[in-house]
Amino acid sequence: MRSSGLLLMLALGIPAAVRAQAAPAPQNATLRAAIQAYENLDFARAITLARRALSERMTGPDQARAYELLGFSYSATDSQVKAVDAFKQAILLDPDRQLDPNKVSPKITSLFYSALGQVLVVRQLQADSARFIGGQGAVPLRFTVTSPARVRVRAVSGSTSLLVDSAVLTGAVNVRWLARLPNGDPVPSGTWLIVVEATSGQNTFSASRSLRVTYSPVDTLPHLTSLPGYKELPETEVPPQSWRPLGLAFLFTGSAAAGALALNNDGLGSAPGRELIGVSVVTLAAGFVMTLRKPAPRPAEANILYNRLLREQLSQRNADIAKENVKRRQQVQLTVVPLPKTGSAR
Amino acid sequence: MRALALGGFLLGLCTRSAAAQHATLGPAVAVAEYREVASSLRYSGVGPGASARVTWHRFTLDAAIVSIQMKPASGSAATQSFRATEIDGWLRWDALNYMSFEVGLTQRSPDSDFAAQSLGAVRVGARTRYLLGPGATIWLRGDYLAGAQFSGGGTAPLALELGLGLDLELSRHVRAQVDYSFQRLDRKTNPAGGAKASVPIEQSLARLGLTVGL
Repeated sequence: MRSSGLLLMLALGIPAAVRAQAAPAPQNATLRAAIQAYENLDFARAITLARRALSERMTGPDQARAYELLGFSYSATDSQVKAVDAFKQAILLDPDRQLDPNKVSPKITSLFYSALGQVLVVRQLQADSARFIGGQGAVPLRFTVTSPARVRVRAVSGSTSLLVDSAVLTGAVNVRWLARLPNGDPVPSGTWLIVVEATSGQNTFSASRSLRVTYSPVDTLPHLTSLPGYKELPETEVPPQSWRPLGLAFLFTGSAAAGALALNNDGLGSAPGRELIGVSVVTLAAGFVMTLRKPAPRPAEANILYNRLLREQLSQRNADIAKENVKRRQQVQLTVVPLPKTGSAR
Repeated sequence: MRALALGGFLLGLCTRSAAAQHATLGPAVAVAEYREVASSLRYSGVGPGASARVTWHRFTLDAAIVSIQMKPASGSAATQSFRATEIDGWLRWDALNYMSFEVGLTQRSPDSDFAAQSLGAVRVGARTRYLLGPGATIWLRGDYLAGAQFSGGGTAPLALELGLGLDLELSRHVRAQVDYSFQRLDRKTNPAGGAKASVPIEQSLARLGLTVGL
């Protein structure tokens, strides 16, 4: 019952996994025959042919693939120790090799990860593209160290070698390369190699990734003509129409008439009225006309104050921008782009 | 002669208007009624004039001159006509938007000393004003005429002047000015060292002027 279940699993999962893991056809004919035997569920023959292929002259990828096929075949025949040894060889040859857990059985995957924990490699060294002002940013670097080890990360270009980080690490690691020389200046433009060296006892492994660093001028900030979200308010406002002008004309002319009457010296007869009446008529007429007319705009003090503050803020912001632009004109923008992978060195 | 000197001073002010904020100058016509001593001595008349204004920051200098041909009013006991030349000046300081304080001079000179008293006095007072509408300002003022001097001698401890006026902006450079002033001077004399005699003087004057901005 148990063996029939295993056979079913192997029949449905493993051959598809082998095809998925090994996309391009291998160059070595013996290896191709071994893969065919594995797909036919003839695991003993697959092991024999894979071993024979390894004794032949093969490319690095074919070697890694042969060891992986051995790992798969030993797993199918329950030879777990041999399977782990084969996976270790495959990992050492191709540290970035991965198994797809959706296509490979958990049993094989666990043996693969067991092998990973028994070797020292630096896997999946990645550098993200980055653009930043020299001295104000960093290039994110990521990699995985399979066993605890002293890890040194260096950036190398020509005779220049800069230490990025040095620590005892294991597992997934994130490092930031500031792309600065020891004196604080940005690194020169050109091709840089990020080298990760892992050392544990006698075991040493290194991986590298090439980056291209280019210079460009830093963009300057445009001056502001208005503050976003704020706009100036009208500095005058038209008061609502009212009878006030006529009322005031009455008040002023009435006051003048009352004053003239009060000041009049009775000994000189009644107060003269011709001049006062003439001027009062003109004044009242003006008051009446002004009542009918649209009132004169008057200063809106609150809006004037608001606009003044707004202009002060705007000029302050532009002064800050001008200062920032002076600084930016003296800076350089670094663009860091990872180059296609060249492989790893053991 | 003094009138000519003051006229020259006004002209000088106007020619220096380039340095000032605003300067206006224009002709005027005035009507007046003049009473002296008793209700039976009354004159009324009409005459030409001119006015000028110079504004500098919160200071305003107003000046006006009128020359009125005074004739005995109907029912008056007066028999002689005369021409009175009156020169007025005000220097105003705007303390608030609606309130200002002013000092100035007034000089009224009849061409015949026998027909009416000449007057010279310093005026001190205040003026309030209000914007009735676009370009229309109404004002009211009260001045004390200090140190009044008369050609016939005497003093006037109570000497007051009341004014009402309207400034209208007809166009950007043309303004119309209408104003009324009422003067009361309680003049007292003691001719030949005798008892003090009361010889009051009153004048009401209305002026209509048109000024042009320089």
